[in-house]
Amino acid sequence: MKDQKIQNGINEIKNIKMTALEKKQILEYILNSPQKSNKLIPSPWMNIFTFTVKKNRLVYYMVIPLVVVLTGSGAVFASGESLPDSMLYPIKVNIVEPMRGALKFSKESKANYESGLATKRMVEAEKLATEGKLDRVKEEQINILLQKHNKRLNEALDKIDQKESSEQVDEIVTDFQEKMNTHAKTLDVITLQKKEEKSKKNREKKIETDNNFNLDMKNPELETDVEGNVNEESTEEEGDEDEENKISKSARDNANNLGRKIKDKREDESRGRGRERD
Amino acid sequence: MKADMDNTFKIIYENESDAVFRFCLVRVSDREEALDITQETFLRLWKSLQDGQNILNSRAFLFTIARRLIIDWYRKKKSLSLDSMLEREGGYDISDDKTVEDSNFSLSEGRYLLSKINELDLSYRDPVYLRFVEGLSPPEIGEVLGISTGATSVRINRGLAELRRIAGYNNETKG
Repeated sequence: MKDQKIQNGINEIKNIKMTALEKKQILEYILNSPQKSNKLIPSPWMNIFTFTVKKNRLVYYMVIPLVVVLTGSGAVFASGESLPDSMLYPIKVNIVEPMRGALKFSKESKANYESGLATKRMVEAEKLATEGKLDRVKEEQINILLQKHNKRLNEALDKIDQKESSEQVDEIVTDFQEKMNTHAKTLDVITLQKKEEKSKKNREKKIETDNNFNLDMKNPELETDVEGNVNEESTEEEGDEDEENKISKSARDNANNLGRKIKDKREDESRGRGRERD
Repeated sequence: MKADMDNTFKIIYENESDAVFRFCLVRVSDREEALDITQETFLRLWKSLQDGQNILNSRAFLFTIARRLIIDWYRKKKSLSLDSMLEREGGYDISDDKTVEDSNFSLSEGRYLLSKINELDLSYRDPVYLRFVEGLSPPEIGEVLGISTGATSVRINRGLAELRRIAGYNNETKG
């Protein structure tokens, strides 16, 4: 046999064994060994918060969304009354309002919502104008938003069934027109007042400087120079005035266009109906 | 639950303790040390069971631990005394009185075979021993040594050929 000797050797090796006593001793030692737990020793620096978090994973799922919601809702809440010069204004305009808009499901409520937002923009412009903070950049910003709301309002109105809820559409359109026109008027009045205040101040200043010049050095050439400067300033102001009417102008335009559009649509429809009858 | 665990452990201990002890004794050539390592090996299995670890192959698990403990033991010994180790290497006696008492065999054949196995290249020694003496399958040996099944088979075959050559069994069968 080829591997007989190896097999014999193996069999002999296999007879190396522990004695019964040794076997018993080891088994008893192991079974009676103190049960050491492999759990980590808690750090003395561990405070109550980490303790509760580690103990209960649910805390993660409760606390983190809560923190997010609280801080987030804080910003949302704070942004509610913000004006275009505020840090929170973009949050309000780009996040909060579109989100609220997305929650308006019927076409009517969507149209009402957009009309309300357009009014809000006008109120903001008025507030800024009263504070004298309505510069060209903010004006442009509000104007763009105004156009956006107008566009959405038009879209929403287009989708409303004119035949079934014509009264509602009328109401929305009239409401929108009324508000836009009123606020445009108010804005005009405010800007005009501001202009007058400004020009009054300028005039006072001019008189003062004129007097000073007249008192200090009686030189007729310089006088004309100063007048020339003043004239230039006043032309600039006129330019400003034209541009500051941008918001009220677009508000009026929007209101008029919407009214005209609805009217045209109705006429088209009635013509179509007439043809059908023929 | 605990009774189940106790029973499982007792069964494993009954079946494997001699093999593990043998494996340790062959490596460390000191009965007391071999008993210590065997005890430590089973203690670790016991703790793993207590921790609720799922041990798929208790045999491979035990031999893996035993092999690592033996390696540790050699490292410690080396750092302790180089001289005592040199002394020991000369006298290689696996069977002391107790073992001989237990068995009816003279162990001459076994002792010769073991000495030849220990002469084998280090990479062949454990695979050959585990395969032919303890009857572990190549996948199990692969698990113990941390190598692939294919590599284990190659080492077993080459090791066996080498063993036959150095033990002189090859020549006998040819002649």
